[in-house]
Amino acid sequence: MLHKIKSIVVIALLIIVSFILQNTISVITGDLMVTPNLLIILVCVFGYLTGSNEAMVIGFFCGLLVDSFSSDIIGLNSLLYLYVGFFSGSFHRLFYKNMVMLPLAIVAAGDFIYNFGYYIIRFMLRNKLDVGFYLFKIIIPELVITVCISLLVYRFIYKVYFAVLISEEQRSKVRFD
Amino acid sequence: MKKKTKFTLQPKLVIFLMTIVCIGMMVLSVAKPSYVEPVKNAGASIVVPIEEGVNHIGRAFTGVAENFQKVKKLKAENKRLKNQIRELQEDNSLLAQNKYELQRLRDLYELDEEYVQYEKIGARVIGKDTSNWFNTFTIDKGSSDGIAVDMNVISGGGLVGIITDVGKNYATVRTIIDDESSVSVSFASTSDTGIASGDLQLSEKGLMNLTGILKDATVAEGDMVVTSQISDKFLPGILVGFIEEVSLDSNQLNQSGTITPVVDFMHIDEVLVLKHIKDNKVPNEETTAVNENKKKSE
Repeated sequence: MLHKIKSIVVIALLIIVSFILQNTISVITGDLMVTPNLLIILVCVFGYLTGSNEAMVIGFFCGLLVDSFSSDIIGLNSLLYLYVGFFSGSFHRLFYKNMVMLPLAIVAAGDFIYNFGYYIIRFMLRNKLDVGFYLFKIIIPELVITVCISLLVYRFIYKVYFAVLISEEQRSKVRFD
Repeated sequence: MKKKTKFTLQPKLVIFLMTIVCIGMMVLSVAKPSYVEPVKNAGASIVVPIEEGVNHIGRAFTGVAENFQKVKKLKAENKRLKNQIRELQEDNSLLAQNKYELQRLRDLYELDEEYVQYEKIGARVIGKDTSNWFNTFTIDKGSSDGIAVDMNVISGGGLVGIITDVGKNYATVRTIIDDESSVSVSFASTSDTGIASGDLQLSEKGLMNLTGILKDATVAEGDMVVTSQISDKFLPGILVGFIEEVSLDSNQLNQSGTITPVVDFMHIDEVLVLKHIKDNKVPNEETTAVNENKKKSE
């Protein structure tokens, strides 16, 4: 029980910290760089490490946080992050300790799913049909920078996960695998 | 052998249930916005104080670095500006004469400098939209400072946007170059009106869309664009920008073009919020009353 509370607190902290970073980075850097989507990294990496159910819950709350700040419709981002969580979690069975490329690919795909879904709902339905422009000006730059950042933080999340979030019995199980 | 029988949830079931929850929330937030207010406030009360702190630290660092870079720039700028001052002083004497005349004419029309004297409050930008899709940002003043939804936000003499969401200690501003924003505008030179709307594609080039100007309107490149009287949320007479280009539509009925906004949306640090919400009914009645009076006096 104690372990469960601890992991919930740690995950909540991770979500809040990445949300704040994501929110303030663009204020500080101005137009120097595209904002990376740190929350997608969090959801995708956790999906890969833990599985769909956990990632969906994390994604749901990430989306709720984004919704509560930026959009007038509560639930849209929650839904998109939820699906990203489900998608990334479905790769959990391929989990292997020293693999780095797969989680990066999952982050890339997750970011693409999120942004393309967002484009369809908020732009395409308002008759903004120039997919090429939005793809190359918004989606791809964000995808690239998000993947670059995830290369840096993947090991960190991985370590946090194995040091704090995993219980004793699960840890021994992973080791013997 | 496991002693406990483990209860496992199928991901498919979870995603199904949570999709319903999300869609339910979406419907609820459209139908009854007040019901989802607690969700918004809960998030904000945790995040906003930390965000303010982070911004202070970030500004301190970027401030030091920028100071070194800017000295050179500033010297050149200083020279240029001194020249400009000389020119402006000449202009100023001309304008002073004009102002006297304007004052006289205003008294005549009983306009009473209505929109010059709105109460303002300064605010800092503490966060921007997390996605790269929209141009909204968060400021560090909220309902406890007297800010309310639909108040206009200006900066550097031009219109920045409008408050779309208010919490206790924060408010969200949707800029006029946001893809879902549109402002009813008029032109300083003529009394024609048009619609200035944000567009993600154009905002890459620092422009805005301008549509719906009548065919006969005499507008030209470089004309001043201000918010119009008929706008239902924006106060009249706030500078939006200048016409970049304008041409007749292919349907031969309207003119359309683009505007260069006066505000530099990439570098907004501080903004002013006009603490005045446009009330549609009262001014109209007043103006009609004034018109009637005039007719009577005529």
